[in-house]
Amino acid sequence: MLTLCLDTAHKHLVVGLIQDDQIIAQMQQESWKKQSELILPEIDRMLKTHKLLPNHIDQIVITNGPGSFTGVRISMTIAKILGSVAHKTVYTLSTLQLYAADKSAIVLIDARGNRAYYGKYQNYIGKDEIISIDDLKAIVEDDHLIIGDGSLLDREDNYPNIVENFLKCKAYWQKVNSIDLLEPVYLKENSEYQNAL
Amino acid sequence: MIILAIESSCDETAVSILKDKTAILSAIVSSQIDTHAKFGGVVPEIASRMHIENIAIVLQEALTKADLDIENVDAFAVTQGPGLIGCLHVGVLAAKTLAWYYQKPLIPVHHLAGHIYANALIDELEYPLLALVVSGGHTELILLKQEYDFMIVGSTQDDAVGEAYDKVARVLGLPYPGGVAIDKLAQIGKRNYQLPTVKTQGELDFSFSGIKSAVLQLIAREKRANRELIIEDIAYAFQHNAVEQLIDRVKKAVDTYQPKHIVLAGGVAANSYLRKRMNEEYKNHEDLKLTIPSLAYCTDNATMIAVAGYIAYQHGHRADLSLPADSSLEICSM
Ligand SMILES: [Zn+2]
Repeated sequence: MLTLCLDTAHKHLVVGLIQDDQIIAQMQQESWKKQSELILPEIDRMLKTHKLLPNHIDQIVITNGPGSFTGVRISMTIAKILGSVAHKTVYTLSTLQLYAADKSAIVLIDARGNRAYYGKYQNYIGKDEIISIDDLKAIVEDDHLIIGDGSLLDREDNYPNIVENFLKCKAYWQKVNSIDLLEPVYLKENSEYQNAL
Repeated sequence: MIILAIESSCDETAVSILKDKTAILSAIVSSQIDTHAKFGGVVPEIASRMHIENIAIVLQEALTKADLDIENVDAFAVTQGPGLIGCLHVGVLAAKTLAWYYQKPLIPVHHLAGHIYANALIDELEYPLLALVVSGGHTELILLKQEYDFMIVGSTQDDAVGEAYDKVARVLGLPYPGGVAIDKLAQIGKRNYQLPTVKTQGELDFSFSGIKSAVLQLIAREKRANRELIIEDIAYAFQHNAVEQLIDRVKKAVDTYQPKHIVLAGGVAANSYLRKRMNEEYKNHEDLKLTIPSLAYCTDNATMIAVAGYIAYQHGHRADLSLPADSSLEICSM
């Protein structure tokens, strides 16, 4: 069983190949806006290194947000195409849950405009929200472990090995039953958008 | 040869499947116009969201309508730009994913090359060819000395003509999209008001930003004189002024470049007065052929990207999997 793991929800381009329960290839690189240019060449390269073809992929797991709107859509476009025309099974995972995995931690991703995507996680479980940096400062205590954009609180940024975390989180991969209904989790819902849709 | 093409540069998610140059196996367009009409214009983030929601559905529908197994597609074409970046991303990634997964060539297409080559669906194109490309985002005179060889010989200094239609429609309190509303009113309007002729630096260039203020001045003048505004006559005056500017530049370009063929392209090519005037000027010309696309091929669609893609492919155009979406892609670079 070959699984392709993709995460482009934040500043890294993350690509991994998991054969059954073993990581056979992985890359995690700060790419920012180059993600959409780098992602397919990287997947292609990884498969070729292992003498695998695209149709050897059995399933795909991606982060569906929260994170950069454009970034989340990159992995999701690939997953939607493979899920619909190539009939691959698609799974999703919260970006914050993926960052946390088995750690008890506060996970932060910059949401711009002095806000953060925030989740307090314990043993894989937590709730994702968007909050202001001021509110965040009131919640977070000095002894809390922070994963993600620690610099939002003048701490060190702290990113996990994301492909390893994909594997750790396997029990929490959410199977997508209808690929046509798959949508990013934006969290930052603008009421004006909502009224129009 | 079977080409599957994707277009997602603005507010339509479209997929077409074309066999050789003109046999359309399927053409699906999912339009977002009703959503954007609520905002009086296209909202980029909403457009991107709707593309990701619709892309796989539209793709599946195109394959089903064509009754085609995707393995039988020979190449994938896609609009690389110009357009809204978040929208282009979805189409470009979808096409790259398909080209990679099915190990087939990827053909990058410029959106305006698509609009121009929509005309190849109904006519044999002859070169040198002059294209008047008019839409909400573009007003350009493009010369093709030979097939798939583009040179911009005139362009707008400020607003696109379609943009001017939308702005004036807003001033007149007409619904979005403004072009359709003004065209309808102008058809019942009379020659009553006069708007000034626009001068541009280059004689083949266009300018439309002045028309909106000229319309505003006209409205203010009529109000001061306590005369009732005849809105259809204002629509007539604006439409007449805008289209005659287009015709004037086309005439000058024809004089300068002596093309054998002239084509209309883009959303504003659906305008009834522009179609009428082009026909008056150039229909039944002895050594100058005129082609005006049918209404369905004026607005954005993927069939035009497939045709242009087919011709681009013959000329050796290919992209690799690192193909970036480019919101300000130049047609001369194709
Ligand atoms: Zn267009």
